[in-house]
Parts: sequence; C-alpha cells; structure tokens
Amino acid sequence: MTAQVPYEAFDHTADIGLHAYGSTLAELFANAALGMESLMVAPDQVRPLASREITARGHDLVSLLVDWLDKLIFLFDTEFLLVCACEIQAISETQLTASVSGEPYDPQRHELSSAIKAVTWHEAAVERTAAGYKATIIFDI
Amino acid sequence: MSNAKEKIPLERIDSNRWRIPQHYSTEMRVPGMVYADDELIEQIVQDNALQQVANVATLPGIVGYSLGMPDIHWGYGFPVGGVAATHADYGVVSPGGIGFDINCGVRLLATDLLYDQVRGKSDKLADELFNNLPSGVGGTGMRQLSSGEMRAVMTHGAAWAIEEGYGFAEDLETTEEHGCLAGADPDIVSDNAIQRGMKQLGSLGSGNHFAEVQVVDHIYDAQAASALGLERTGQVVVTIHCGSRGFGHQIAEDYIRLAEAKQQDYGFKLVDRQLACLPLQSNAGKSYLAAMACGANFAWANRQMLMHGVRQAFASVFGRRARPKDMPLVYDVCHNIAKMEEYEVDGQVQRVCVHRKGATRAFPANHPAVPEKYRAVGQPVLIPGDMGRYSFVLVGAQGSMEQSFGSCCHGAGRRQSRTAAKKSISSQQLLDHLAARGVTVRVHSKNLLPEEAPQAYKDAQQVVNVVHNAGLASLVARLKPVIVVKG
Repeated sequence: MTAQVPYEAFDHTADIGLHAYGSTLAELFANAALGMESLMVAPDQVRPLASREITARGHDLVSLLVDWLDKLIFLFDTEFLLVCACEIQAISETQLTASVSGEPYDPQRHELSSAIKAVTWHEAAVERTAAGYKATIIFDI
Repeated sequence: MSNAKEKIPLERIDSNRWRIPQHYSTEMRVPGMVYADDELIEQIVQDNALQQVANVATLPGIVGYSLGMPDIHWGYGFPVGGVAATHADYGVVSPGGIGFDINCGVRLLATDLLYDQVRGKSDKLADELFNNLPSGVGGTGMRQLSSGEMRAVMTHGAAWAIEEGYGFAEDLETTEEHGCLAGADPDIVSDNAIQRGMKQLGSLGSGNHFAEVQVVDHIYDAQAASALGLERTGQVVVTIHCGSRGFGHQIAEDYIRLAEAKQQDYGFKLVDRQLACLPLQSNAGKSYLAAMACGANFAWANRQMLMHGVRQAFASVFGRRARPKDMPLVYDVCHNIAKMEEYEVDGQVQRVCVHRKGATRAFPANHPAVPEKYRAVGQPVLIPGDMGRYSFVLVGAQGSMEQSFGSCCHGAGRRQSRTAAKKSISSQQLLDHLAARGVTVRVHSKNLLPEEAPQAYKDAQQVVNVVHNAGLASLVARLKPVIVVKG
C-alpha cells in the first residue's frame, strides 16, 4: 500500500483547489494548512524563525477548517508571515488550538507562486476515508 | 470538471441568449439566462459556470432570471459574470454574490496627450507609474491609517481621499455613487478587517489588478465618445483596475461565515455553502449591506488615491500639473457589488437587491443616476480586456433595464486555469510577446505574470459584441494597451 500524500492541488478556472489528507483530524488540519502555504511558497524556502498561537472555532468540521485557514491568511496579510510548520495541540469538531512557525515573506528569497486572498466555502468538505480523513477546499487567489 | 453541456439543458433563444429551463432542477426558483454567442457558449460549457447559474436560481426571493454574462466563468457559489436580483421584501442578500473583493472595479482617465507624445517616454512613464502605485504581495499602501482615519474612509469613501489631497471634488461627479455608498456602518466591521485595511489603502495589490496606459484604437460611436471626452484615435487614456484589498476580503469572510452558520435558523437549504444568504429584512442582512458599504467606500478611496498617483506620474514626466482639466476622470464603475434598485418584473415595478458578481451596471440615456453630462448618451461602461489585447468603453442601453437588471459584463473572463496558463507560457515568453506588441510592462512578481497571459482569457471583443448585439450596452471605443503596471 502506497503512503498517502499530505496534500495535492487541483485546477479551478480562476483560482486553485487543494485536497489534504491525514490519518487523524490533527494531521488533516496540519496538512491542510501546510498545503495552503505550499501553494504560495515552496516549504523548503521557509524557515521556522517565529511562532504564533492560533485558536480556531466553527460549528462543524468544515466551518472549523475555514476558520483555521482564514486565520493563517490573516497572518500573511497583516504580518506577511509564511508558515512552514504546524503543531495542532488540541482539536474537536468545534475548536482547535495550534502553534505555527514560519518567517516573514522576503521577495528576495521566497519565490511566490500565488497570493492566496481568501478561503471559499465552494465544494468545501471534510470526509472520512479508509485511511483517515480527506479535506477539499478552494482558494481565492 | 465534466462537460456540463451534457447534463445541463440549454435552450437557444437567439444568437445572443441561452436559457437554462427551470425544470432542470426542482430547487431552481427561476430559469437561468446566459448571454453568449455560438462560439462563446462552447467555451462556457468547459467549466462549472452553468451549474453555478442554476445554483444561484435557488436563492430565496430571486426574481426574473439567474443571469450569466458572456464573460462568465466558474467562481465559488456565484459564477463570475453572474447577476441575480432578489426581492427587497422577501428575498435574501448573499455575500458570496458580491464576492470577496467588494467593489472591485475600474476607472478610466482621459488625457489631452496623443500616443506620439508619449511613445518616446514610455519607459520613463512606466517607471514613474511603478514607483507611484504601490503594488505586489507583501507591500503596503500609500498611507498607513489610524483607526480614526479608517472610520472616515469607511463612511466617506472617495471624498475622504479628495479631502486629504488625492484629487479634486469634480472627480466624484463621474464616479458610481459619487464614490460613497450610503448606509455604511463602521461599528459592524470587524477589528480584523480594519487591521488588514489600515496598511493597504492606496495600493494595487496583485493578481489581475493593474494600471494600464492605453491608446484609443477605434471609435465606434463618435458622438458618445466625444461626450465621454474620447475625442480621437491615438488619444492616450489610463485604466485602473483594483478593489478593496484585504479589507473587503475580510468583511466578506466575516459575513459569509456568519450567514453560513445561520442557514438552519432561517430554514434555508443551500446547494452550495458559498451561497449562504441572509434575509434582506433581517438585522444580519442589513448589517451585511452596511458593512459591504464600508468595503465599497474603501475601494473608492483606494482608486481615487491610485488615480492621483497616475496624474502625478504624468505631471512629472510631461512637466505639467496633475489637474482634472488635463486628465479628467471619465468614469468609475464597480463590478462586485449589491445595489438596491427598482425594475419592472412581470408588469410591476419591484424594489430588488441586484447582486453583480463580475458584472457592471449599465444604465441607459436619461436614467437619473447617470451624471448630467452623460445623460444624453448613457452611463459609461468600462470593460478591461487582457494585457495583450483590447479593452472597451461602452454606454449603457435600454435593453439592460428590460433584460438584465441594469447590468452587463465586466471583462474578458478567464477561460484557462492559472495552472494551465503557467504551463502554456513562461514569464520571459510573455514579456517578449508583449514587447513585440509594443507593450511596456512593469511587474513586481514576474512569476505570477503567466497566470494573466492573454490566452488565459476569452476574447473581450467577442464578449462586448454580445452585450452590444443583445442591447445591454452600446460600443463606444476600443482601447489598446501600451504600458502595463502590475503587482
């Protein structure tokens, strides 16, 4: 049996979509975040120099996922912080706490592939699979 | 995406219109109507746009048709290029039907210069524009605002910018809504949105936003063109395409989340979560419109400041002062917005909330909202094409009031995903292609440029031909790009 990829992008006319995978919810949410960040800058270009604590909330797993990713976009838009590592400390259907690390965007060193401006709810999903969980999300870029 | 044409029935009404019958789905409350010619419809069925037109038709209180303009493409919830009107009393407002970039829009300045006067100074002008107009990812705007100043921007829009020295009072006469939507309430805008907006006012952003120096290439209607200040071919004009930056995005996120969490309370069953909606008569619905107005006003202040940067660049390069006399604002239009307007539906005048998601208002001659100096010809409609090809100026026509809730298209419309576009051409190939067409480019993120390549877009000429032939708006002039500034 081949190992599951943590995430993979898919095409959309104006924007971009992501499938993320994880054997646990925590792994899924971490991979969804790292997948989103990878759409902006390749992970190996980002160093874990600064960290932030994040709490996200929702009324179900999809709204929790959207809130979690929204908070990372907020960090990028206000502090220009790119994230390369995530540790989900606690997660339930309605709340998660996490510690993320990364560094500010530096046009000299970071090759930007896209600038993600928002997370959309279009076709957003969190599903159980044989191997654990799968998330689907489309971003506005 | 599977070929939707096999699944979605399309009835050809005439050479410009296709109907999606209401019986396609039990959840549709009205039929769909897509404006396209026989060639464009073949492109439109390649992605999920038609399904989204059908999905929008399920919105509570929608009246008439769920409309698609000829530049339509797959969006999220609403298609981009979608128009939907909901009844003011019993209908909803769907924040996704305005979009994340609240009041993304376009403004056009005319100049008294001809291309021959500008040609020899293209590089100098391009550099000056690039310096004056903050752009690119990770950049900040012309001004860092205090929270007090943000409040003033939210409630006064373009007028705030003018008071701060970025332009002149007469610019407001030729801005949609005079650059300020009434009813803005800063108290219901989140701190997160304010934080994002404070550093970004007076910036272009990135993606498909730009400032372009263009040349009038062809005049279709000399009388209308002259009324708009477009006097002759060879005349130099400038187009700015930009919106409300992170501020509008955060407002949209906040209210889409709010709406999504309340759908069960309202008894709404959504076919797509991104269509989450709020009754227009509810406090939450009214709050959204008041917050949307804040976002819209930020965008008008933004475009006003960017225009000032453009005027100053011309002043510096051509040795004159940056005055509206030499560089008047022809018009400024929104293409992501909701407006409370009145239309005749089924023989009765009804007040509706018109959602324009990648669609432009197109009021005809004699409409009271058209600036007095344009009232004889109609409201200017500004349609940017892709970087390498033409943009267009039209005026609204009577057909828009009868058919499309006063709306028409907004641009060329994408037809290729960003991934596919990046695979089809490299940055250098694209820059070479543009240089060969006489287009000088200044861009922050070179590797994002291929996403905006001409081949990623439909042919804007085809798009505007459809709205012209359908009677929604009438062609006035065609513009050719000569300098492009992008983030």
